[in-house]
Amino acid sequence: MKKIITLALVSALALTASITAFATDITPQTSDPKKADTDVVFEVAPTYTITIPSEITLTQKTENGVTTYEKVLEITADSVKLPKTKQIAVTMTSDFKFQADDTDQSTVDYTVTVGDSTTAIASGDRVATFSTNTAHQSGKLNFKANEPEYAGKYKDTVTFNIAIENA
Amino acid sequence: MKKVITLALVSAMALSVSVTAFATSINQDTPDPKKTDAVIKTSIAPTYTVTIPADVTVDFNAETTTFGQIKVDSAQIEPDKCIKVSLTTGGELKNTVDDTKVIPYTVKSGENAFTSATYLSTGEYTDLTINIATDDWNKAYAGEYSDTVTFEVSYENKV
Amino acid sequence: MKKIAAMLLCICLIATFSVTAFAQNTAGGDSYITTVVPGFHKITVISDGAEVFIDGTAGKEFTVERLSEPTAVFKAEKNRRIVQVVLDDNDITDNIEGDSYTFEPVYKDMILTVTTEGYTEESTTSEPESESPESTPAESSQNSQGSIPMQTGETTNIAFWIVLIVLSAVIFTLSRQSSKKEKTNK
Repeated sequence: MKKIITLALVSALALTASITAFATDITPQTSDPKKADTDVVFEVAPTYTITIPSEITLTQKTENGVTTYEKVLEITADSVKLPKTKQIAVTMTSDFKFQADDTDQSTVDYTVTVGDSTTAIASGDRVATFSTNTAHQSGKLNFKANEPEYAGKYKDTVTFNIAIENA
Repeated sequence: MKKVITLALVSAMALSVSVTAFATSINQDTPDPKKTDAVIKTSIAPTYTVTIPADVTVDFNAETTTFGQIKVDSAQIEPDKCIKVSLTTGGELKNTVDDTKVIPYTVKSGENAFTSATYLSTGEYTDLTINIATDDWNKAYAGEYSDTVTFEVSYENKV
Repeated sequence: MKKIAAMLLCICLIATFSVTAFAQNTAGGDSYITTVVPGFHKITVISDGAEVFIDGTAGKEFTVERLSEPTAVFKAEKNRRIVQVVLDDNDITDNIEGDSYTFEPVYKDMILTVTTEGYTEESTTSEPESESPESTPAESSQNSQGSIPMQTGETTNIAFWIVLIVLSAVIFTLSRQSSKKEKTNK
């Protein structure tokens, strides 16, 4: 019993033993110039919060007699702190087809443009870029579908990918 | 009374309160691959506008009189649905003074008596006529006659 | 104050409470069919050499009540006789009884056409000392061909003419005798 307790205590001591930090000793015997370097180090881990809506519903819009269904999806970034040479890239994959929930499974095409651009993106294209900035950042995606032939409920799922890349 | 009003107002508030849209947040600690899905939806309610024939006066002795059209002026309906228009008629023009005096008639589409039709898209139509046999005209007593026909429009599953 | 403000805010919320509006669709409707059946019809008579009476009135155009059954009476003019009567496109000559015809219920405007031919009265008499006896067989044969032995328009009063002739003869005789006496007295 005594041996067991002794062994446990010695193990605990060994685990908690502090490690002496290496240091440079300068003595009168140290050759001139008497100097030593000390590395001063601190680490700041990258931080960011990207927020993407889980769901959006397009709403009807009629202009000059033409009816479309549209909605803006906003991707936001807060507290972005990255290495100087890095940025956050958000890309989106989609087949750009709404599927109707009817038995005929009819489809309706839709397009996505970024910000003020009028060019529709392709699957996998970049939809937002965020760099280091403590201020709130956002990127807007415009979803748009033409008036479908049939009434009904339509749905599609898109996937957003976030990656840190070189700026 | 105060409690009732308060309850009513609070209920109204609750019903009209906007619902926060859910979102996904991804940060540096989110395990790789850092990705999220978003559902894009839209809902289009079915709409349609159907025109039915206007009132018509049949000329004396006319065996066939044009009765206008049933026409789908606009339609945006679900693919598995149709617009159905049904006609209800007593089949007799009744004398306005003595309703025992009648003139039989038939509403036709082409050669066939019309009872109902289904439509799927904008622009579809059916021409109708009112038909009275010569013998029935010849036996008709003098006077004014009239009848009302009813068109019923319904939204139904495709057959 | 707080309570009033709270109540006002709640009222504002009620006012802005939105309700989903379902699409308006046409539910159907009624259509009204009418017609008028006239109460009267016109019978137009085309005839040359005969008069037509409908319900006792002579004329060329008659207005009769719809579905009524008027009676037409035909009367040929002097020295004429009726040989055919057509109602619209139907020959009704054989349907005439005596000198009249009763219409079926009238349901439309109609045209009554009466055809006559020249005819001398003697040819209708059956006396053996007639002036044209050969006309009697002719008349008989004509009758047998279907002409209508209709009463002519001129009624002959022989007694009147005999009396007139006798009186003329008496007056003539008396005047002659009177002039002879005057000559004798001179």
